[in-house]
Amino acid sequence: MGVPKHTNPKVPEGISSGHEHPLAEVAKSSAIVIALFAVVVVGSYVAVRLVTPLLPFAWERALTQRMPQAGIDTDSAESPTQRYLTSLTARVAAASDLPEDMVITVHYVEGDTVNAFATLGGHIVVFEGLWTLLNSENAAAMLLGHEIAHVRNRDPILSASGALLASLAAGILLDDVGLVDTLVDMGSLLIALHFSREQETQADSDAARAVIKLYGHLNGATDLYARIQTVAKEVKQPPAFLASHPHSEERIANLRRQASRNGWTFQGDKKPLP
Amino acid sequence: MDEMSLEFVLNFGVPAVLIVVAYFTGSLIEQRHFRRIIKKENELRDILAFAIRRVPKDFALLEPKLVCGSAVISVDYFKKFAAGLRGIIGGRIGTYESLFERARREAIVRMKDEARRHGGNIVLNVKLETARIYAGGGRATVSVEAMAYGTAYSKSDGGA
Repeated sequence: MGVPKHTNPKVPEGISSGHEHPLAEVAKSSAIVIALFAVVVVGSYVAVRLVTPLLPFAWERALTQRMPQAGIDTDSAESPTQRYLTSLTARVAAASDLPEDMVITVHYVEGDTVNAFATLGGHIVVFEGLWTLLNSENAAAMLLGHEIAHVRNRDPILSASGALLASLAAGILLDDVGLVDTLVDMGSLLIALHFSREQETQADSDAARAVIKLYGHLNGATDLYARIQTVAKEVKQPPAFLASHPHSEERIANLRRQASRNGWTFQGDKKPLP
Repeated sequence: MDEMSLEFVLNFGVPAVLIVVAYFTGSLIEQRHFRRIIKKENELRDILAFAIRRVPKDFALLEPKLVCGSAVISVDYFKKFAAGLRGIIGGRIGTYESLFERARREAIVRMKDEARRHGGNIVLNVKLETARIYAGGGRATVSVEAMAYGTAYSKSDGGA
């Protein structure tokens, strides 16, 4: 019996590694990861859009009650303007077909800022700079009706959850989750949320319906838009209100179309402000 | 440059540069290492290595001696990035496969080298150990070690 002959053959290369070029591997997996990320982001965005309107308004309200409200002094003695705004808001809200659990709170803030907006929890902020531009109760009602419509259509919470999602996605990408900052920003009533053009147009249309209900005509309702446009031409810096809203001409044209469709009139007496 | 774009550059720009640089240096070093391994393997081809534990009856072996060889190879930024992507989607991490292959083959080469220095020409009961060496925080693997060890003998008949 002979001793078995042992040899040490040369094994071909590329058995345990090198099946794919490293750059090809990275390119392929990057593409898959990016696609996955896009699917997750778009998917969550769609899910958020579908689910947010179903959240009870009380939750939204509770969220803002826990946040410190810088710049809004709710305890101070109410100014006559604040009192008037509160009562007018109540009247416009009554004409706006609000769900029963929805509460609107209006805040009058002194300062030059030419802006007014609706935010989370049914809070509406009207700045002195914009208020002084109003020349009739009809125009004020139109403005409040517009902001109340945003609240009723759940625009603030939709916008806020979209912003939250965006900051979450950015946080994952940048490895630095600024989620808390975003939450605090949103909870603060002085930060205006961004609404889409469609949301703005819908709010205008809802506001016009409320104004018709209250006064029977649209005379004076669009005065504010025209005046803001004039102011914008006078000063270098366009008012904040214009930056976040469609062009005034466009809004007036939209309202005229809506009025003629519904047979609403622009003829009637304007009610003066006190 | 505002804060946001500075943050963007720091978070994406710096790693991107590191990845590109690491790809070129890493590939160059890896290619040269493989060439060296293949050359050494050819030189040591006459030293046989087996995983069997017991000496076969028909082998006439002398002077048993424990021999071992180890190699530590560093992960580079590019390999880590490629592995990170794989960590999300799964699949073969080709960049780590070549890393471990280099470590294993280099360890066997060094083990055989030691066997030859001791006058051995066959190594039985060869085993391989691998270890990962972590950075301080323990989160990221920085390098891998492969160690090969076995019992070296000198075959009396030379031919077997």
